[in-house]
Amino acid sequence: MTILHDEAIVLHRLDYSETSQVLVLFTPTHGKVRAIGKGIKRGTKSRIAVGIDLLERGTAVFSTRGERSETLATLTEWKPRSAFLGLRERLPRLYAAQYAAQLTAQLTADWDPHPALFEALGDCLLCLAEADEVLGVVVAYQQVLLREIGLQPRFDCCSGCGRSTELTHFSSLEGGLLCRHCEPAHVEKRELTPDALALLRESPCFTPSSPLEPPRAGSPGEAAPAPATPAPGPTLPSAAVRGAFDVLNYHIAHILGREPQLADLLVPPAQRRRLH
Amino acid sequence: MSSESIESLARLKAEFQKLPGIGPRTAERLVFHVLREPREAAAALAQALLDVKDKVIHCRVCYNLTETDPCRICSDPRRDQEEIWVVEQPRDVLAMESTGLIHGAYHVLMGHIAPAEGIGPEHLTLEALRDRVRRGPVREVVLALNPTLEGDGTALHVQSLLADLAVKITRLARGLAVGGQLEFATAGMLEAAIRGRTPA
Repeated sequence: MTILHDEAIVLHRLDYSETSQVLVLFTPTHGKVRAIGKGIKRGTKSRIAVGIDLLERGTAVFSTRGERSETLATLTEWKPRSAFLGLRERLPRLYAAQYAAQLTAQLTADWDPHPALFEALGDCLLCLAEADEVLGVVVAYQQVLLREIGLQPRFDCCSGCGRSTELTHFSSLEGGLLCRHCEPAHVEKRELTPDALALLRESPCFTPSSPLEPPRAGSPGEAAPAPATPAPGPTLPSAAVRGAFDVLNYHIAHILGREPQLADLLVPPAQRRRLH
Repeated sequence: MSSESIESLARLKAEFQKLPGIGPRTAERLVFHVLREPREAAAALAQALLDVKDKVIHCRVCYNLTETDPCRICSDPRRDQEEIWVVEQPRDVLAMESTGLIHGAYHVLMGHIAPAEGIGPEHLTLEALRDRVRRGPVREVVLALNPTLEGDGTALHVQSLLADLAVKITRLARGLAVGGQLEFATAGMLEAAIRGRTPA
């Protein structure tokens, strides 16, 4: 029996019997680990805090029959560090965080460590917990995720001819862009606006008011008036952010073979063409 | 002698084993307990099981489990029907009632929204709640949902669903456990308590 210590973020949680749960944990040094938390709902275990919630970050100790074991590990200790409570203040934040967690669970393999992706997920959840506009943060995470699993598309030139101008479409099968001359020969493709392309070429960056967010209304240099009350709702993402999300989500849907479940909650289907 | 060698015993053991938290050993103990008891006791158990299935229904007003429709709470004139406590499951009604502090009525959502598991608002009794509040009179809706990610997501959805109706929406307080100590509280408990602090 091997005892492993690691940080972890809870990606998925499934009830197992009256008091136990099966957890899918994402860790920096052991990758995705499936573990059973026996009796954790009852909260009588002194080394496990009562109730381990989805998207919670903490320090885990689990025993396993050996690294890369196919059987469930057993969670023996859990010390929570952050529950990202800001996520629970607005539905778009909650849906965006669940989308990021779901993609991580679906696109990474068990026991395959991605330390940079773990940090990116932590940063993403931290930003989403304060974000006014969540889609920009999600786009940044989609970019890091695709890079880390080795399926990042190329956004520098045409996949067909290498041309770096008149890039109008994206093809998931080609793994990148298509220029105006090459795109007619391809059935599988997605239109891409210049604004969305410019955004996809930027390095992903996690900030609550993402740099991907369009400038707020007001004259340049003019200080924004301080709101008397908290913002009533989320800021709408720009068309460029929606376009970038659409292309990356389309690519991810191709990799998964199905549309990610929560995509419709982030951008309504009417604003986004579905995967054919 | 093993219970498996007698067909009726084996069948009863198999049925008991289907119940949550009952393993083969416990199932066998229950089988032999039933066998030792007089026939009337077995008949009473069987009748009680059938009654649960035949008589228990969901209240058409609050969706709590009941044998009368509307349920005892919804038809009680001493209850404040203008105050609705929204809970996830019928079991939560029992927990809230055990405090003896609730004088209002309930609304059972029959679950929570979990988009990652394919459970959407349409699977819950949310529209019935909106209709109930719209028909009124309802003064306050108290969201007594589990403080989990799904429970909080459901609470946000209920808030947006009732936003255009003239009703006060409140939520249960959260944070430190009564009788607990600060040094043993988790970061999540402390964060919730700090965010939700009230005037002393």
